[in-house]
Amino acid sequence: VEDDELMSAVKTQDKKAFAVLMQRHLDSLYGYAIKLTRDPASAEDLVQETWLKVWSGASKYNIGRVKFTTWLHKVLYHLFVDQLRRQQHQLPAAEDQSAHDELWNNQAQSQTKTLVDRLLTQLPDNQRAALLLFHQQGFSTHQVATIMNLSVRATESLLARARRALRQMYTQQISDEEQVS
Amino acid sequence: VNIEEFNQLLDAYGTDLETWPDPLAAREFLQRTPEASIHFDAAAAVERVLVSTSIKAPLSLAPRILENLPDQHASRESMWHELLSWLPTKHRWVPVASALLPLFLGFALGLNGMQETSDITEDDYLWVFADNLEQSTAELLTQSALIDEEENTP
Repeated sequence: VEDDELMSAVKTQDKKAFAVLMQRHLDSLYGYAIKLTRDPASAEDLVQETWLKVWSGASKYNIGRVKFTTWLHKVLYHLFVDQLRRQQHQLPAAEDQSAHDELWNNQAQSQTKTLVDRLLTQLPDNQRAALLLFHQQGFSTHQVATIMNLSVRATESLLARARRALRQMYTQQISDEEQVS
Repeated sequence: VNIEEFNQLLDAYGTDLETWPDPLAAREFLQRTPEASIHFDAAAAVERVLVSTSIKAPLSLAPRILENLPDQHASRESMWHELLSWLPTKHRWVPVASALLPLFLGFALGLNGMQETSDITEDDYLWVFADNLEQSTAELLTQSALIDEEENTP
């Protein structure tokens, strides 16, 4: 069953269709949220809020206009931006970051993965969001632009800046490690 | 292509050389320039990590979301569905007919009301007309009597 068919059912408050749709996209959405928020608890709250918004705002979803996953990520991204505004762009506390690193160390043994994940947290929020949408979530530049309410050109520029920053930090880190060893 | 241009293209298009404006020139430059390889390998390592990331949501998250779904709209929906469920649902015209039913009901009531009103007023008009006629005749008789009296007085 296609996402749009399930969304038609969700519009009539069909909880079974909603559960199927949620199970289908939950891991992917959580994966995006945890990298955006850099904190498992915040990611869970954000994902929960997103799905509640999908349920209560299903009538706002125009079937066929954009892909469901694009709309879903748009809902999550804008909730995240609202959350950031409420927190006045405060960075997470040091203990949150250590908890995040521990989580990643348990999940992935690769040093590169750990390093990239750590470097990702140093990117500005909008650059990180765009980069994750494009590479991790597999959206096209047009879709990223739709999700983030940006022009395609602005999105391309944002992605280029994010790639450059990450690449430069990564190269610098590797060269520093080589010098130490 | 120089190293600066190469890096700009790398940041703009990523490590899939096929998406670059001139893939052949990019590939040749990459093969003969060690510095370009360092940047390209770094970008590729980053992309690999980003693409390969698969994270499982906590098992408790899905049930928690389902438990917290609000019911208000659902209850409003169910009332309407319950109302419709009284009617036979096998035919497609039933929902349309059920929607038009109040319209016809209102029309019938209005028509009936008009008929009742006209029945009553028809009689009323006759009585009012008869009353007025009687009153006018009496006035005329009184006026003519007064005139006669005036004419007869010396």
